[in-house]
Amino acid sequence: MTDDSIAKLSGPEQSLEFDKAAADQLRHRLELQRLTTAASTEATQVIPYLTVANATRAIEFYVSVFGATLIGEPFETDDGKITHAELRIGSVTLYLSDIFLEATASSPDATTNTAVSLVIHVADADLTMAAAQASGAVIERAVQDQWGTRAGWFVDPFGHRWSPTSHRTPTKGTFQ
Amino acid sequence: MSDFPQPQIGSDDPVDLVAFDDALPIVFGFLMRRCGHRDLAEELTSATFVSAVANRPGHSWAAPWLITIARNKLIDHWRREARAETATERLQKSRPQTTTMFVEERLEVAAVLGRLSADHQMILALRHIDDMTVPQCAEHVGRSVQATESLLRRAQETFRTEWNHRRTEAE
Repeated sequence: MTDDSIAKLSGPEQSLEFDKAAADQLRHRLELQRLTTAASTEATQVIPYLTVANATRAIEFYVSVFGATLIGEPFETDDGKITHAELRIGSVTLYLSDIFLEATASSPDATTNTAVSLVIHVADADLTMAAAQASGAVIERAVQDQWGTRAGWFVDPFGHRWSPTSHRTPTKGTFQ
Repeated sequence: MSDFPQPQIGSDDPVDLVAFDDALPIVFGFLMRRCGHRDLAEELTSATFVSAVANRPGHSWAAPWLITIARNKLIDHWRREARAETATERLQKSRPQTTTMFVEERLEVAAVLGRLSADHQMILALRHIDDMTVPQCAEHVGRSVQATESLLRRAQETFRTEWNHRRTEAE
């Protein structure tokens, strides 16, 4: 049973001005909280720092194959070599630079084995491998099902070895 | 005060993200309407955004998601209050608050709501403001449907009495 006084409780939601000084304090507190959260996240993350023979082309490759986003502007020397660039692939951060032998920053050579390989989780390993191949990567092993995932291996045009990995799509219909 | 889009809980449609400056009055309005106490509404609004940043450290969020956090903060508050309240405290709470002067009827309603016990505030807000069914209310309140119906009837009666009392005072 409701009467007029109870009916006064219903009705559309309305926004209400927050005290300005309190809002400023809360905004400041949230900024500090974000910085603390970011610092603790970065402290537990290993960031691959790739050295490549042509950083500009490498950025284009990672953008087109992995959908990477370039964060900020790359740092460059006067002669156009990139000393540092930052890419974001999903929640993963990637740094890269051109070769600087004086800083012992060399890139892998496609004719030799690489000591470090990069495994990256993607939405669809088949699509990523196809995009990599179309952009000049050398397919080392085609995508296949393994341990509940779909994964393949390719060597990118700059000598780095990648394994795009995605969840295996369950087969519809009768389980075999 | 200004109207804002109603949260479409359960909708599959993409939801626009709202930045802090726009989200703040939405969350504050939602809480103020239900608890009727500015200090408490400010405190719970802050707690809502702290939880939001802890879960999603970005600078914007979906308004329905923020409202869900705010509602949970309020329910937690009411539950704590319901456990702590004594009869004396309820009596003190029911006295008119001279420190808060509400002009608009919406805030006047909230002020009356804020004088009730935590249990009564919770059931009236869930049933009549959030428009939940009694079984849905029962889940939040943590009582059987029958006990929730009984609580609702008592809360409605108390609200009517308080409202009429306030109207009489105003006249």
